Amino acid sequence: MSIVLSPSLYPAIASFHPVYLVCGRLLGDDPPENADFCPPIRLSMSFIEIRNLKKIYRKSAVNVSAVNDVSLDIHRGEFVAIVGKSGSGKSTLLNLLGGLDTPTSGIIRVDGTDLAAGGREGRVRHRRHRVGMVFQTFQLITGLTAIENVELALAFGGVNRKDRKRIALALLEQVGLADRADHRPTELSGGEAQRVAIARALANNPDIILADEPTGNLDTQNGEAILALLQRLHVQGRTIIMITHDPDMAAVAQRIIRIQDGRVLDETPSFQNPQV
Amino acid sequence: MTTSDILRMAIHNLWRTRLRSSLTVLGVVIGIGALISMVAFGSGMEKNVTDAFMESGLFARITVSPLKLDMNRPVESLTDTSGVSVPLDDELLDRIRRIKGVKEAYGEIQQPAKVGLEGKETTLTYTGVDPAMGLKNSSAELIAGTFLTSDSMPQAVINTQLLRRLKIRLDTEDMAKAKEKDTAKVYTYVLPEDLIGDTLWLSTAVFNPMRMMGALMGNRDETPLSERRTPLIITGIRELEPDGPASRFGGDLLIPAGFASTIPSIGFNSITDFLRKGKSSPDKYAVIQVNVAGPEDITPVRAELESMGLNAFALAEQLKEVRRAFLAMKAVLGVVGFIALVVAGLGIINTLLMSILERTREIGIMKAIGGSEGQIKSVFFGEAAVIGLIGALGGIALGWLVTLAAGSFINMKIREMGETPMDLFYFPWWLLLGSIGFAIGLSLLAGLYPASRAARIDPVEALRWG
Repeated sequence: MSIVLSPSLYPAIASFHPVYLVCGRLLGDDPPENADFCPPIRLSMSFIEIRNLKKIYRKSAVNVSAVNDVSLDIHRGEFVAIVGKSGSGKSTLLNLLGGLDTPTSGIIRVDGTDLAAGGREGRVRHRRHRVGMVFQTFQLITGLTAIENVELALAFGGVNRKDRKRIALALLEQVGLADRADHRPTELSGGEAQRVAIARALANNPDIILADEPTGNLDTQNGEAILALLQRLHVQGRTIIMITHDPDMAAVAQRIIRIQDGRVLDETPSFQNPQV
Repeated sequence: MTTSDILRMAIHNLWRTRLRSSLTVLGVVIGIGALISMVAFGSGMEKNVTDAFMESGLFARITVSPLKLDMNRPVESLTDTSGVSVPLDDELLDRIRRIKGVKEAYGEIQQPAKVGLEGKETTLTYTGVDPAMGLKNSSAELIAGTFLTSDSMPQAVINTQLLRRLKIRLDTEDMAKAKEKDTAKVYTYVLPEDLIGDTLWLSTAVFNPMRMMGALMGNRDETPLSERRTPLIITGIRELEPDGPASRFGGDLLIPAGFASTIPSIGFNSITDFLRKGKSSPDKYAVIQVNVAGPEDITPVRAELESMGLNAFALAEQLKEVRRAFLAMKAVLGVVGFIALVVAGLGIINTLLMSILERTREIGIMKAIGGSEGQIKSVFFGEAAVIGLIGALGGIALGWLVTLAAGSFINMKIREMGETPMDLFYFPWWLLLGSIGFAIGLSLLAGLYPASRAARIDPVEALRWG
């Protein structure tokens, strides 16, 4: 028996019974064999499980709670928007999810694995293979060309030089920038630079994309193009967590989480784009 | 990331800040240049000595002389040599030749004399040698003519040292500059070929009973001696043997041993003859030169000779000491170069720290896209290593150029002084490889702190930069 499922239904199904999903088809209790093409995915209640997460910074002898007791569940294949004012702690939360920062207390579990368990090495592996990060200021290395920026991420991921070139070019093609491969970031427009950054985020084929105000530095037209690109990645099955303070952008997500003073204020499903 | 990735990245990063990178590299270049030219100088000096020694065949040579006289002993005992000294004569020569490990042995006669040539004269000690042995045991090359051809003929082989003492210079190209400078005409310039076949006068001191009268009459300046002149035909001119103990063979004037024994003379031995209360000297030879079959025979043969009551001197055993002295010299010179390198190392640290400061955001990005601390460390180590490698290669080139210039300048001066030019610097392979390794090692050491600092950078903080 196999059924084609909408990702939004995974948590509901998994809450009854552990099941495996291969190429979008539900396979039942046992992990499948000979599943080379699509890795089997164990469905769980939540893909990213955040429990009582706290991050306290010490700034000139005063403790600042950037993230204060946040608990969240994000499901596989979900597109989540996190909104909130500057200083609300949303970027800190994203950095914790990306393994760039370590929480003061609390747990982040990704696909059942505690992010803290692997220590420093575990976080490197998480950043390298599990997540792809996109930043407001693009964060491209200016000394390298577009393709070299993508290749660097592949190099860290252990891909050999021959394959690197090929994969990087394919990724740039995916974001429509194959013809700009040999340009430096300074020779690219903001929209183009952000597309290079997305191509780089996809380098090691992560299943989670963390985007911190990806359209914040772009005009409306370019912003929409980037958003469309993220939506496409979502359709491909990736979990997208995007920070924004633009309500129109947030409306694209399946769920909007509002953060204030380091706490989750509320969660609302988005009606504009309810399901994929 | 592979090593080639790291190196390519390092070169790329260094190229981005070329001016600063090249100044840092220049520091290493100067450091390595100083180090290797210093050590090359020490090695050159050592090589000059040890090569001359090896070429001369002296590594297989033992020089036998009568038991060394102890100058602190009372004179009475000096005359009493019975049972202490073995006479250096043909019988002893035969006994020595029969010792296991001895390839050949021959005696040398040494006598003081006055020498006259081209109307000039000087005093020296001439040496009577076996013509058959002489040539192969001389480390000095013949400039002109041949070696002694007969044991009984009045022949002579002179060297440049003797000529210098006679204020005669060979009219060769090497001397052209010196000749130009010699405006006072202190020296006589002669073509080497013209000296061959020339007659050289050897004046020896002989006892003259007729002059005894004057001495007895109270004329204190009168000695009962007179000069006897012996003409010798010059057959060859030799280069000067290297200075130091290696110039053991021959001396400045070589004549056939057979002929030497016929020259009437009151020599050194005559003084001891006199002190021995008229008993004539039992020594026919001043020294006996012993050549052993191989270097491993030196120690046993020398022990055997000493057990025979002889004084045996083997230069090979002294060479160890010489080498040790040179090692110390090279170490001291090396320390001077090392200090220059340490300064260069500080330059590398400075450059890398600056670079980290400038590239903080970049390091944050590298961490965000999956770079591990180890990979980031190796990027900076790679930069340090490339600085070290380029610095070492440049340093070798610089050292080579400096020594080349210094060498030719010094040799120019040496030529002007009428001396033979020499190789002052020597680059052994271990110095070249070692300096490359050392420069890279030092650079990596200098990169240790910056690299670990880069690796420890907090990515969240770093991404806020710029």
